[in-house]
Amino acid sequence: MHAFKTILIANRGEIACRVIRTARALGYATVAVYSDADADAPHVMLADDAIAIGPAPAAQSYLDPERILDAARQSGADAVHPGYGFLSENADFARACAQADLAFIGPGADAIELMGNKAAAKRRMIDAGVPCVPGYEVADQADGVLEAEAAAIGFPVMVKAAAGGGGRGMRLVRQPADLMDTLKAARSEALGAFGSDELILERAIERPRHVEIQVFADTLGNVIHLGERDCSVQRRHQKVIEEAPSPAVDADLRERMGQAAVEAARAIGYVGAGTVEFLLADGGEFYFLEMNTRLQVEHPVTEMITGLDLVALQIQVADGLPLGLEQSDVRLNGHAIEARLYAEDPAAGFLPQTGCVRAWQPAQGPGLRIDAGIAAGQEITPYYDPMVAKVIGWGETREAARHRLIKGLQETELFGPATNQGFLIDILSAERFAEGDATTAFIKEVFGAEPPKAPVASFAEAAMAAVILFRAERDAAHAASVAVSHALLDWSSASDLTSHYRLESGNETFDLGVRPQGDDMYIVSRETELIHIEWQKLDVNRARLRLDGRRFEPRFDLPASGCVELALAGRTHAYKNQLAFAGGAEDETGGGRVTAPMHGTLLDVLVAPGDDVKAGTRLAVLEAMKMQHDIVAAVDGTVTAVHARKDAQAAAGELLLEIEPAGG
Amino acid sequence: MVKAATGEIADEEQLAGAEMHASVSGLVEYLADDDAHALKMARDLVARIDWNKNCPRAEQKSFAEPQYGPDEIAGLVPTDYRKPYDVREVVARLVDGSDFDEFKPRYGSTLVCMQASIFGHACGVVGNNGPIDPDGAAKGAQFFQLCDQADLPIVFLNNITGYMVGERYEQAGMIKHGAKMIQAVANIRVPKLTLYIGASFGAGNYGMAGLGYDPDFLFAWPNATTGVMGGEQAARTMDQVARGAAERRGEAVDEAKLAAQHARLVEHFDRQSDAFYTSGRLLDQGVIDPRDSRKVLGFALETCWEARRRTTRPNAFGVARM
Repeated sequence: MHAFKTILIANRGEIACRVIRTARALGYATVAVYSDADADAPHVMLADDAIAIGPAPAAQSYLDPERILDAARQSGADAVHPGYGFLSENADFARACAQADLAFIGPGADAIELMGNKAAAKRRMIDAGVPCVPGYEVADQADGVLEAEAAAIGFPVMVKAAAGGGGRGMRLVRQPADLMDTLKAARSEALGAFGSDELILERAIERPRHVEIQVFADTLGNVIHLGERDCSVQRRHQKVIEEAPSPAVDADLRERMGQAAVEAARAIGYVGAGTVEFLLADGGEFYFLEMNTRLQVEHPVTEMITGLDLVALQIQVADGLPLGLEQSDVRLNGHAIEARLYAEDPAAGFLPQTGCVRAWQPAQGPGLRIDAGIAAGQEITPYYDPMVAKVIGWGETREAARHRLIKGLQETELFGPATNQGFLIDILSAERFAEGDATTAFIKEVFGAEPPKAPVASFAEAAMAAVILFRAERDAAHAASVAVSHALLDWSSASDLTSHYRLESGNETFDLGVRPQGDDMYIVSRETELIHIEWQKLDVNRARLRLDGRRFEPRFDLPASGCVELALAGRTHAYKNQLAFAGGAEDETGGGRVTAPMHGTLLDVLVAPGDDVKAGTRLAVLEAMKMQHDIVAAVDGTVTAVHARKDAQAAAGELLLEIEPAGG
Repeated sequence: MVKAATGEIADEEQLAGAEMHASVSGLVEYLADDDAHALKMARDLVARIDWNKNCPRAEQKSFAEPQYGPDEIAGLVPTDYRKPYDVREVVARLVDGSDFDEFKPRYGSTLVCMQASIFGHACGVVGNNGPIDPDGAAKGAQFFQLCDQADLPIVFLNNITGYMVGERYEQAGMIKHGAKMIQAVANIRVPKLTLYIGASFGAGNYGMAGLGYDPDFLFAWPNATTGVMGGEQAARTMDQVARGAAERRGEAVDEAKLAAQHARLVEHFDRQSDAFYTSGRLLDQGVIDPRDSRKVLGFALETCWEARRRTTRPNAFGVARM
C-alpha cells in the first residue's frame, strides 16, 4: 500500500502541470493551489482538486507555508510536491510538512538546510573529498581576514553571499584594490536580500562551463547519478539553454564527476532527486558549486536521454520504495537540448512582459517536448517568474537535437506579451553554440553586453502585414453588411482601388498601397517597388501567402484595430497602421495658456508664479450658474504668470494664468 | 471677395478657417488634424450609426459561376446592331451556372424571356433576338406580370430596334399588344434592372424598361445606341419625306442638298445616341465594362433586395432654428 494517495502540488505554471501529469498517470489524486492571479491557470484546470491560497503576491500565497498546509488539510492531501522555487528549498516548510503528517516529496529538512548555506555546504563537501573551488567560507568576517584570504586564494576572486543563490549577490573582483569596496556593497546587498551579511570568497574560474550532475537516492541507501547537464548558456547567471549530455564531458569525466556527486549526496544522507552543480574549467578540472535539493527546471533533458520519469522516481522514493535502478542500468541515449521561453523583451533589455496570452500553439513533432503552463486567454502577471514554457528537442546526435529544437521554436506560436523566442533561435543558431563551445561567457561574448536590437522588418514582411490587415478589415466590413456577395469582394467597376497603409514597426515606417486584383491576389506597392501577393487563409491566425510565387506561412494576431503582429519562423514583428491612429496628437487645450471656459466668478486661485504643476493639477475654481468648475493644468510645467484674482469676475476665454510647459 | 464687397479686410482663418467654424460659428461638427484623421473619424462615425440594426440580413447564398467566362462577352454582341446574334449567348455568361429556363420559347420567340439567378438572387431575364412582334409583346406582358406576382426582379437586356411595323403586324394588333407590354412594364412593382447591350430605339426602349419607365438601375455598354431610331433609319425617312414633298410641288430633287441633309442627320442621330453622349447627360447610371456585367447586375440585385427591406426614418418635425 502506498504511504500516501493524494498529492498537493505547492507550485504553479509548467512545473505544477508537469508534476500533476505524472502523479495522475500513477493513479494519485492531485490538488492544485492557486493565488487570485492564477484562478484560471492551466495547473488549476489540470488537477483533480484546487484550493485558493490567497492574493497574487507570492509571499501571501505560494510562499506562505501556513496557507499551503491549510490547503492540504482542506483537501485531505497526504503528500506535498514542492516543484522548484517557492518553498521547495525551505527546510522549515519540509519540517512543518512532517509535523503535519504530510509526506514531503523531496529530501530531508536537514539536507535542505545544509545545502541552503553555501559556506556550510562547501565545508561539508571539502570534508567529503569533493573538489571545491579554492576559497574562504568561515564565519570570521573581519575585513582584514577576508583581505588576507583573498590574497591567499589569488585574484580574480568571486565574492558571494553565503545565503545567496540563483546568481544573486555575486561580485567579481579583479584586483586587490577593489576588494574593500566590493565587500561593503556585497554585505549590504546580502543583508537586504537574504537577511544575512555573511560572505564567502572563491577563486573566480573565468569562462567556465556550468555542468551539473543529476543524482537520485532512496531511503535504503542507494545513490546513483543520471549523467550531467550542461547549463553554460546563461544570461546574468540565469540559465537560458540546457543540454544533456554536455559536449565537454566524455565518459571518463562523466564517471569522475558522477562519482563526486554521488559522494556528495551520500555525505549528507541525501534522499530523492538532487543536482550537484560544478564549474568545469578549460582543463577538465571541476569544482563543486552548490547542490540543489529539488527537481531542476531543466530536468526534462535528463529524462529525454535516460527515458526515466524523474517525478515518478521522486514519488517512488518518497513512498519509501527502492529506486529499482543500479548505476549500470542508467544508459544515455542521444542528446537533448532545452530552451527556456520567457515572457521578456530582449529589445527592451529583457524586461519581463505582462499581458494576455492571445494565442498559444506549441509546436508538435517527433523528438520535441514542450512543458508549458500557459493557455490562450491567460494573463501573464508580474507576480511570478516570467518563464512560460520549456521547449526541448531530442535527437540521436546533438546536431539533430539542435535542429529539432530550432524548428520547434520556429513553429511555436505565442502572441501577446513579447518573448525571447527569436533570441533563443539566435543562440541555438550561433556557430559557437553549434560547435559545442559555449561557456558561461557565451552570451556576453557573442551577443555583447547590449541587449539585442529589435529585428528589422523588411518590405516583404510589411507587405504581408498590410495584406493581412486589409483582409481582416475587409472581412469585418463584409460581416457587417446586409447583402453583399462574396463574389463582389475586392472588385471595383472603376480602376483598381488602392488602400493605403502606413505601417510602423520599431523604427521603420512603411508607406504601402494594397491593390486587390481579384481571386485573392493583391499588389502591394512601396514607392517604385511592387510585390504580388496571393492570399489563402489557413486558420484563424495562419495564412499561406505567395509573394511573387514564393510561399510563406506567417502566423498572425490582430491585437487591436489597425494593429497586426506577424510571426515568421518564430520571430514576431508588431505593425501598427498609423493611418488608423491619425489625429489626437495635438492638445486641444492649447498647452500652457489657461483660459476661463465660461463667464463666472473665481472662487479660488490655488497656484502662484513659480509653482510647479502637473497635468491635472487644480489651478483655480470658477463658479458659474451655481456650479463650480475646476480649472486644471493640461500640461506639466511651471506657472509663469497668474492674471486671475480670487473673487474677481472672469469672462469666457479670458487668460487666467500661464504655464511654461516642462521640457519645452 | 469680402474686401471687394464691403471693404472689410478679413483674416482667412478668422473669416472661414476650420477652427473658427468648429469653435465660433458651430458649422463644423468634427475638426480633423489632416486627411487621414478625417477619414478615420468618418469611418468611426459611420460605424457607430449601427446602420443595419433594423435590417434583416441576407443569407450568404452559394451559387455556381457561369460555365462560360465573362471575358468572352466582349466578343459576342456585334457593334453593328443590325447584325443578328443570340442573346442567350450573353445570358449564359451572366447567370449562375449558365443555367436558365425559357418561358414560351416557341411563341413570340424574338422576345426571349427566362428565369435564372445572379449571385443566388432569382430573377426574370428578358432579351431581344430581333424586333418585338405582337406575339412577343403579349408574351412579355404576361411574363412581366408573372414575375411581379412571384416577386422576381427583372433584368432587361436591351438590344431592340423597335416593335415590328407593317401591314401584317398592324392587323395582328401590334398596337394593343405593344401597349399591354408597356403597361405591364410601367406598373410592375418588382425591381427593374436595365442594361443597354446594343440598340434601344423608339417604343422598344419603353417596352424594355428604358429610362422613362423608372428602372431601379440602368447601365449601358460602350457600344449601346439609344434614340427614337437609328441615324441611318432617320435619314432615310427624312429622304423620303423630302422626295415626297418635291414630287408634290413638281420640283426636281436637289440630290446634293439631300445627300448633305442625309449625312447631317446620320451624324446628328448617331452622335446623340452614343452611349457616352447619353450617359454624360445622366440618362443612365453609367457605362460599364461588358465583362463586369454579371457583377454589376449582382450588385444591383443585392442593393435592391436591401433597399426594399430597409426603413428610412424621415423626420417631419420641421427645421430647427439655427
